[in-house]
Amino acid sequence: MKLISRALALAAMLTTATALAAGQTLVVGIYQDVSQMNPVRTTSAANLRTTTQIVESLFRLDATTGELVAHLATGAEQIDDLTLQVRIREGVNFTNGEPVDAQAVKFSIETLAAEPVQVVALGAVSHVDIVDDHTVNIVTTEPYPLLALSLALNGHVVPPAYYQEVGPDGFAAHPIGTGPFKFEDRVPGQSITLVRNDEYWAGPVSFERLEFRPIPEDSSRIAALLAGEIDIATNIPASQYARLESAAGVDVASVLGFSAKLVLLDALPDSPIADPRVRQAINLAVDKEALLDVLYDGHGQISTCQLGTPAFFGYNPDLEPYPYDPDRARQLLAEAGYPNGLTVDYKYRTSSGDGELTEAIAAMLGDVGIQVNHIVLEGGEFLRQLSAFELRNMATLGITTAPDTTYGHNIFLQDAPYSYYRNPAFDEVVAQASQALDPDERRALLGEAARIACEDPVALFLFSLEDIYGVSERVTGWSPSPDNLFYFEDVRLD
Amino acid sequence: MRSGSYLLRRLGNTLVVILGVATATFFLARITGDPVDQLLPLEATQEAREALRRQLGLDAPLPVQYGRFLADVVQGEFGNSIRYSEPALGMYLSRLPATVELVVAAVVVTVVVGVGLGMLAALNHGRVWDAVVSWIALLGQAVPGFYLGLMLILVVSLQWGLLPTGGRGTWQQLIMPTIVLSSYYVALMARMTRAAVLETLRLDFVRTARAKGLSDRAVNLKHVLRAALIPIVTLIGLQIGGLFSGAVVAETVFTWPGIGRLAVDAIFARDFPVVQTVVIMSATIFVLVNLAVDLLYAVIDPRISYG
Repeated sequence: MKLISRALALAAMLTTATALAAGQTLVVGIYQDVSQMNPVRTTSAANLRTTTQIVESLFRLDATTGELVAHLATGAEQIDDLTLQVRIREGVNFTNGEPVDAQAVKFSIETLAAEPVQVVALGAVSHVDIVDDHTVNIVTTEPYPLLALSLALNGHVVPPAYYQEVGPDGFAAHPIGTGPFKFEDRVPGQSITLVRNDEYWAGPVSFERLEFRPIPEDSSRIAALLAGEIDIATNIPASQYARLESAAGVDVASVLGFSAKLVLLDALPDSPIADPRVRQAINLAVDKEALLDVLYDGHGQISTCQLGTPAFFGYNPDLEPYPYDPDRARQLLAEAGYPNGLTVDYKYRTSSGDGELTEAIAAMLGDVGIQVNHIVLEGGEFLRQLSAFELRNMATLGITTAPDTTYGHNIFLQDAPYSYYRNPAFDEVVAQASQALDPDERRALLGEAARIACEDPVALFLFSLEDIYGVSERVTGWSPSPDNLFYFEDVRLD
Repeated sequence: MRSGSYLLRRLGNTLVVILGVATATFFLARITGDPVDQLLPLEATQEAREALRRQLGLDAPLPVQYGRFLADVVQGEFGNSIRYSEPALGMYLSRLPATVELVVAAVVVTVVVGVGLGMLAALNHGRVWDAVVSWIALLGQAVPGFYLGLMLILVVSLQWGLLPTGGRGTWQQLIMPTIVLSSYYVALMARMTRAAVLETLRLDFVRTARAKGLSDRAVNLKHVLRAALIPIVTLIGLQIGGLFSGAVVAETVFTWPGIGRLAVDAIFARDFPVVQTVVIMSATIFVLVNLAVDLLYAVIDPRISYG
């Protein structure tokens, strides 16, 4: 017995010692391992939240105001329909000593534009011309108003000599950039450790090391936070918000993100819900407020009949959510030729936690006479059906895009690879918007596209959900950003 | 000499099994979906998808891909992970020690605790210890590993602050995953041992041994346990595969960076090269362990010989 208690005491001492030795390291528990450390080859925020600490872009998105802020650039100007002239900050070096200059920017942007995963963001770039040591002209094949935003999110500037020497995979193994941190070490599946860049051009951060630790299981990530093993835990389920809020030594921080929950509606010509009145009825039959309150403890915002929040460029402030009105829904169904209701297939994926949501929606639809066949699909199979046009007639989906409604609209264009929507007027307006360089004109066109997609509903619009983080009280000066990236400039550790 | 040809024949069978597993994995993985769907955002254009497919070598016809895959595997080349763009074999091998460490710890605990409890129950047949062991075995087999793991974290890590909640690197971090992984097998082993020992106690040679005037201790350890070892070793051999796949739960709850988590992530991401590597390597290990168990019989039981 004595031996056991001694062993326990020893174990306790060792645990404490590990915690103390951590010193000025900030540890972030992430829900998904980083799969690609070369930012040139990824567009996923789950990867970029790590790589952007090392490799930076020309611009930054001020995620609260939605404004673009010059970063490695000092300014930009659209000099003709196809050319954006960018001035590059002087006196900045990569941590291997290579200078950040026109040559480096040209190499980076042209390398990015040739990568398949970057086609959506930077595929429109034709080439980059060097004007002088610190000025480049980025030339596109067609007018491309999203260029600056794309450069902010995906325009990672890499050191050309090093990148060419080690190649894309070598760069992933040891990325080098201009950022506040330098890559130190990676233990596969366990941790990624970065060390402070003391020469960071915008001034070094206050703590020495930053560690990302993948802990995919929600309960384990929360336990690690409560035990003081990690300082920030990402992706806290809404159901755990209250529990963490009342826990000692831990705060909860949340922000309305760029993801929307919705139910894709199949409007292909042979679909039973092709008639816009049926899709309107679906929107009227569902009590969005109740779903948000019961299933997500109210941690979100009801979508106003469009994808995106007011932080998105092109958000239409005049649109309102469809009210919860089952009587009107029944009436519309009768007008559309379904006085006795109809039966549709409704699919969702197991991995997304959408089961309860889908069941609740199905029950509400049942109330107005729409009977639902539930079909649960594994995540990969769900995506396969989506691209094979087998995901009919309804499917619960989460969509995350950059904060410009163009991206959301693009998904529903007739010739988009996954589109179950057919509306020539919508296609026309979105096409105009995608070439409109004047911001006011573009905003108006995108707003009009949103209005069309609300009246002839592309989806059952549900809500935008908050991204919830658990934060140790030893962290001050940090708040979550809606783009899911981390900014540590003002962070202090006790 | 004759046992040498037996070994060769068994090894030949092993190769056929592995080829079958490799082929099945290759085609099954590919009919379940496309990794490109997962790598590109919803708004990606058709051209972007095709360009990525080319970059990943997924654009060739399936028979051509299969031919390349077999030619590569024969040379020990398993390709690069689609998601991580690292060599899949390297990823597997870097994760393997973590799982082996966990499985070995669980086997040791299973054998020591499981056989010990089983002996205890059998030798106290019908008395209190027998009932206690029955209850422990029932609980061990009934409580799901996932629940047990979370409860351990809640109580041992959060309430008592004794052990870290997860990760790998120190011996403390090995304790709770081992308990979770072995709990089911300890219970199973205790039951099997109890049954095998009870069976053996009734046999003539045990009576003879006692009649010779050997002490209880000598009879139990030298004769009874040895005879009961056959079913026990069989069980361990068969359960090694189960332990490797059962490790997924312990690895997930305790963030233990082993091959179980690697495999599950790869399957969800349709990361074909990693899925193939994990399945082929694990099948090889499983088949070889079974072969080793069969050979071990001859060592334990002189009545068994191969030819």
